[in-house]
Amino acid sequence: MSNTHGVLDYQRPAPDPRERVILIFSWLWVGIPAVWGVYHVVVDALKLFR
Amino acid sequence: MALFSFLSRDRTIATPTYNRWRIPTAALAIHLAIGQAYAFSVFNLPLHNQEGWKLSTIGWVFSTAIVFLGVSAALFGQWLERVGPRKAMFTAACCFSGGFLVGALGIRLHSFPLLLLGYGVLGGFGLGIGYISPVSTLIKWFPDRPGMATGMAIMGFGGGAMIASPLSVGLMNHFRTATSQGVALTFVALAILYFIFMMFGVFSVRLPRPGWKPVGWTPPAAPPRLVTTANVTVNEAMRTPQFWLLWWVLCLNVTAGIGVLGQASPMIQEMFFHGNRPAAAAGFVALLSLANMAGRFLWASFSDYIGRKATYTTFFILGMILYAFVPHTGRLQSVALFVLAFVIILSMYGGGFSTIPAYLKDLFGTMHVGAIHGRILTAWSAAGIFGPVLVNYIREYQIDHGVAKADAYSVTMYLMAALLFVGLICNWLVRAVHARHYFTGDVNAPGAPAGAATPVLATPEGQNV
Repeated sequence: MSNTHGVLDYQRPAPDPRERVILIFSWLWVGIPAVWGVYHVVVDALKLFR
Repeated sequence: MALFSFLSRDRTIATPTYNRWRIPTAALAIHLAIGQAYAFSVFNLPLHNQEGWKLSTIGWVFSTAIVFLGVSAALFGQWLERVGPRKAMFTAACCFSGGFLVGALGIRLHSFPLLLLGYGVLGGFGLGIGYISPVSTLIKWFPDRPGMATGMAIMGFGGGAMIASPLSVGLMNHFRTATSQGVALTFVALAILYFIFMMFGVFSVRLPRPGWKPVGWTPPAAPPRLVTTANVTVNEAMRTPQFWLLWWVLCLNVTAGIGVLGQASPMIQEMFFHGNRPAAAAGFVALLSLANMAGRFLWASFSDYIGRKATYTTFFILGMILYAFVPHTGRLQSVALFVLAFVIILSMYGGGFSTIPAYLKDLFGTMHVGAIHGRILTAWSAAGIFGPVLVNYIREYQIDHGVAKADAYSVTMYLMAALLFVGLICNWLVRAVHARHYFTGDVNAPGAPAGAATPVLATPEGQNV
């Protein structure tokens, strides 16, 4: 089975469940502080429209 | 030293199952931390109240940090390519956190020079090394979307202040006593928190294995005219007209943006609110920082589709129109149009920062792109001085000559539009780098310049995500 670029699917390594957990944790590690920071700025920015 | 062997470049090579979407998080862990620099002003008043230092004197701490950001990015780029991203990120974390600790000691000892040396010089080195450390790694992992990848990291630098500002205020409130504003202890707490936060990036970052490329992606057979598949060393790049044209492109784009960024709050107050709505003006500044951050990601991602040259052409032409239009919004008394114009302007200011690494990669290849990016950041330092001085001088000159405060911004806006026109010409003059500048050695040979060996072959491997 090949995709549109001619690369065989069996060449793709099987997804590693541990890697997926690390990936989710990684995005939470940077995402939670970022969302917290953005929340504060959005609250400030809304003062412009009051 | 064996203890630090995990930092070495060859210990950073990814396993076949490594997911490349972990790289942006490693980069963000560094950039969200060092972006704290933009929030340093939250310490100005507490330091003034506690130590009695003048606000203008305290302002030198931030200025020194930005100067050393440019200096260290220019000086350490080649070293970064040699030792790899992990050691560079670790060094950045040590310098940045160390800067806070030395700064805390300076406050404790009531020594301003020690604060300057700590946060300004040592911390500034951390900023510069940290800023460039993930750039070439991201480009190597995302050859299909280099603009989006670097845009994501550089967006983090814009967003760092959003985290640091409420965090610093909260910590100062926690540590405040009857005799102290709590700044020194806040510095210590920030040093620890940021070090831990950045260590996540240090341990997460990986270099792709030689020959790696995203599954399903094949380099275009005929790349666009400006995009090279060859490589240019950092020293050779500086001998090309393209480097200096891009230096001016970045400098002029940043000058125009930074010049009005500091004036945004007084401008909206004097043009529309007549000094009656300071909270709304603060909200306007917050909205601009959101636009700056979002623009870093959106414009750089967009550049993957329309090309870097077209992206900067858009910045300059749209910027000229908007800067020239801003004075009319005052005459129309339309706050909405004024805000909209500035949101777009600031998004392009951020986009200018985040699109430049991919532009450099297009012109000079990936081999030394981190080092070349470091050298070109001196344009930022120059713009950081030039922009505010220009805007403040013109404004004061006009007010001294009897121009009403609310009208004094018009000439500034027209001048910024003129600067963007010069930037447009510089960008228009950019052509593909001549083949005589290309690195002709074997990039896989042991003696090849650092950073050369990674992105060469084309065997599908790793996660296609």
